Order: sequence, then C-alpha cells, then structure tokens
Amino acid sequence: MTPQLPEEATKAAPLLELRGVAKHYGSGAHRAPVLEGISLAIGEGEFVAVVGFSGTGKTTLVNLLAGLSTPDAGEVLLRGEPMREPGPDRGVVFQSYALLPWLTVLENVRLAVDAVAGERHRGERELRTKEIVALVGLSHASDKHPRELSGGMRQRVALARALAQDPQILLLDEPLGALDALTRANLQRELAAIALRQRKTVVLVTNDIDEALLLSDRVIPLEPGAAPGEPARIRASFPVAIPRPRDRAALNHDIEFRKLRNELTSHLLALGARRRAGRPIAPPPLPPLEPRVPGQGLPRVVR
Amino acid sequence: MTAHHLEISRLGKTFTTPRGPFVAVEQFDLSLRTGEFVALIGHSGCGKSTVLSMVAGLVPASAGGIILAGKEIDGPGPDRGVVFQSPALLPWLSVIENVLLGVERVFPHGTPAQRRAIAEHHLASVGLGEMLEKLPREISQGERQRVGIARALALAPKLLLLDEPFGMLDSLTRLELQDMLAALLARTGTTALMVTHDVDEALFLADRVAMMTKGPRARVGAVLEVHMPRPRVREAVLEHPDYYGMREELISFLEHQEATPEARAERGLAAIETAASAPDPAQ
Repeated sequence: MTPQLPEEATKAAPLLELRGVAKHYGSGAHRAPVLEGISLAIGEGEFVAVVGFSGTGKTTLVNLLAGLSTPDAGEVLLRGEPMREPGPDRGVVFQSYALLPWLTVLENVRLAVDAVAGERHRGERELRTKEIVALVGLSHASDKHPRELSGGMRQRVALARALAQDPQILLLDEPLGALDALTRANLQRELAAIALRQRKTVVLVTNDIDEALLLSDRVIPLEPGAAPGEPARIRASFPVAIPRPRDRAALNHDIEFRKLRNELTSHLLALGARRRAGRPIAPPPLPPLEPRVPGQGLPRVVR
Repeated sequence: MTAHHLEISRLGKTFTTPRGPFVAVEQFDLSLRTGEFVALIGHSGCGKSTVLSMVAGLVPASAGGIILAGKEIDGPGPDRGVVFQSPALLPWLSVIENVLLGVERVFPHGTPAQRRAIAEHHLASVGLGEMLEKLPREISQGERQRVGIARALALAPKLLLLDEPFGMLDSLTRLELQDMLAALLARTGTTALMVTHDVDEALFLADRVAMMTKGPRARVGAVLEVHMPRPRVREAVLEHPDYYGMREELISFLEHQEATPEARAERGLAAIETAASAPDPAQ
C-alpha cells in the first residue's frame, strides 16, 4: 500500500499563491485601490473559478497571476518562489482575442509554437501546430484569416495559442464573455475536456455563476468594496464536490448543484446589493398628473 | 369594456418577400389581466419580437387585433412604454434630460418642476437617484439600461413592453436588474409583456410564461402558470419544489420546437443549450 500524504502536506505546496496581495492604480488624489488582502492558493491540477461583478478588479487579478503586473503589497508565489515576470508556464486568454489579422489560423498558432519550441525540428513544430489546431476543433479552418472567423472560432484560436505554449497554468479572463449562449456552451464543454485531458491547472475569471459551477472545483467570489472606490477582497470559497467533467443536462437534476447554485447566487447578489445600498435615495413623491396622448389638441409645453 | 387589460386576438403578420408572402405569425392569442406580468419565450427568429412590435404599434398587424384598456391599437403611443435590448440614450443629454424628453411629451400640462419630479421619482426608483446629471458614457451598461426602464415608466404607461431588456448585460448585472424590475413592478402594479429567451429570467419575473412555436406561422403553443406570489425573493424561487420542474418544462418545449442540431446552431439560443445533448466534438 502506498502511504497517503497528510492533507496539510499537499496543501502546503500550492502551485500558484497570492498572499495578502494589494493593488491600486493612480496616485495622490487619484489613487484608486482595486484589490486588498487577497489571499488565494491554487493546487496543481485544480480548476478555480473567480466570479465577480464587472469593474471590480477581475482583470487586475489575472494580470497579477500572469506576472504582467506586480502587487503593491503582499506576494505572488509560483511553486513557492516569488513571481517576477510573465513566463511560458502561464498561458493567458483574454476576452478580446488579439489575433494577428494578417496571419491565418495555422500561422497564428505556429507563432506561439515557435516561440516555445524554436529549437525543435521544423517538421516537429509543424506537427505540433496542427495537433493544437485540431484540439480546439479548427482543422477545417486552418487557412482562414481572423476576419473570416466567427467570435467563437476566434476565441478557439486564442485558446489554441495559449495551449501551444503547453503552459502548466491556464489563466482565462472572461474568455467566453463575448460569445452567444450556444457557442459559449460548446466551448465550455471543450474547455472542460481539454483541461482534464491535458491536466492543466486553470484559473477562470467569469461573471457567470453557471459557467463557474459547470467547470470548476472551487468557486471564489471576488467581493466588491462596500462603496464605490473601495477595493475588492476575497473572503469565501465554495467547493464544488461534483466529479468533473460534468454534464450540463445532468447537473440540472443534481441536488448538490442546485443547492450550490442557490447559495452562490444569493451570496453574490447580497454583495452586489451592499454595494448599491451605499447610495439609497428615496424616490420623491409623484405629482398628481395624468398622462396625455400627444397630438390631440393639447396646450403647449409650459417652460 | 373587455375582460382583460390587454387582449391580443388572432394576431397575424405576413411579410412580402421576393419568393411570395411569408406568414411569420398566425392566430396568435394572448390576454393579460391588469397588473399581470407575462413572459413570451421562443427561439430567436420565431417572431416573438414581431408580436411585441405589433403591440407597440411599431409594425402594423396583417390580421387580427390588439385591444389595450378597451381601445384598439393602431400605431405607437405613450400609453405603452417600450424597453429594448439597447437603451439608445442620447449621448449629449444627461440621464435626467433623457428621461425628461418623453415626460415633456406626455405631461405638457404640468409645470417644469412637476415634470422634473416625475423624472427624479422614476430614476430614484431604479436606483439612479444620485446619477441624474451624469452623461450616458459616464455610467455602466447596466445603469444605462436602468435609465431605459425609468424612461419607459415615466410615461405612466398602461402597458410596459420589454424586448430582451437584459440580453446585452453580463450575467450578474442581469440578475441585479431582474431583482430591481421585480420589486419595481410589484410596487407600481404595471402590466408587462416581456420577450426573453432566458428561462430562469421568465420564471423569476412572470405570472405566466407563454411559449411560442417556431415560425413560420408562429403562435402560442403552451402557457405555464408560475404559482408564486410577486415580488419574489430569488432564494425562495430557486428553492421552490416546483422550480426545476417548471424549468424543464420550458426547456423541453423549446427543444421540441427545434428539429435539427444545424438549425439550433444557426440560432444562438440560450434556453436550448442548457439541456442540449449535442455530440461533443472533443470526445
């Protein structure tokens, strides 16, 4: 029998960790705190979803995890070491696809393959490029340019480019936010399959509770500040104890899923309400006037 | 005097096309009681927005009729407030000036102070009491749609028409606006007809959900009564023992309207895919 590691031991070595991280933009009178006291440990192979309202620092969080920006306070650790810069071990996919418009699908992906495997034989790189294009289901569109693709297909190319680096960690910043519901559902399914098959550690940032519950092991609400101008924090975590990959139709019948969906929705809406409650203005009374239909011999507007 | 506040009877719409007449809507019947909220769900392109446009008076009916508060509809009018997916605010006018535009047309007999009070009342009701003087570009997309709702209600309409009002918003903002709208309409008692393809949205807001068959010749195929008092508390709705059953009923109705996966793929449809079992190309 193989000895089982105590739980603390596995927890003690997270792949990616934020410790008491704070980040602000601007300075002096224009100083705007965005994140504060953010602590989050992500284990190897884990799929974590961060759910938050728009404009509450989700992208700032992704940039910190990617090493694209540095925290003002606290630490970002990669395998226990302070993270200093972006690296090919972290693949990032943003909501905007940022493809090179003059290159075909294959060429866009090849660029990423060459960047990390430049020393390999050309034939080998070509094979790898085609493999990845096939992985995201775009083989039939290899020779198309971005302008000839739908939003969903462009987002597949962006995902392929991130996967081409064979990163250990995928950082996804609302990657499906700009897509219609059907395309989103298809890509969610493929994302789930790819993450499992390739054993990726994934941090998905989203505003969609159902998306978070469908894909992740753990949902982390990003709490907006109680008033405008206050930084967002992380205080709670909702484990999703349903085996992955999950079937969307079956989930609807899953008691655990329903319970979590209700809890998370209430939790997030309460946070949103708290943010709005900062400025309650009671509606002034309505004057006793009956509306009239214009164009029927009415008096001129009194100014 | 009709028994209903809004009566849509044998409504039809035929479009002329180069390939001959196209019957989009046929024999569409639906009636709303005073204060009732009815959601109209169906596939993209099934004609549900066409029906809403005919009730708004923006598109003439080819057959049948619509009676609102005892009067037949034969054109647009301020007795019907309309909220579209995009609020289309005038960018050079402040939030309150955008609302005042319509208020001036409908309350020309009031004083400027009274009209301003009307606009302020409705903007505060949608949670924008502190944003009266902001320009549209200075507020979020969700806040702009709040202005759109305030602008419609400020006309004191007999009927509120909502055409996928939250379709462009992110999912959390959408939930927030649904909560706001539910509380607001329960207070004002405004009769409302909403087009949506979001099954959860329909079940949270509506007294009844009318399901449209797919076009051509679209009509009401079935109606689901949502037996929960309004305004509803979201937790209570989600925990209601019938909730997921009703959700299934709506989704399976929509599924049966859609013949082929290709046709599904063609129409970007929210309700369908929630239960879709389309083959997984990744497997």
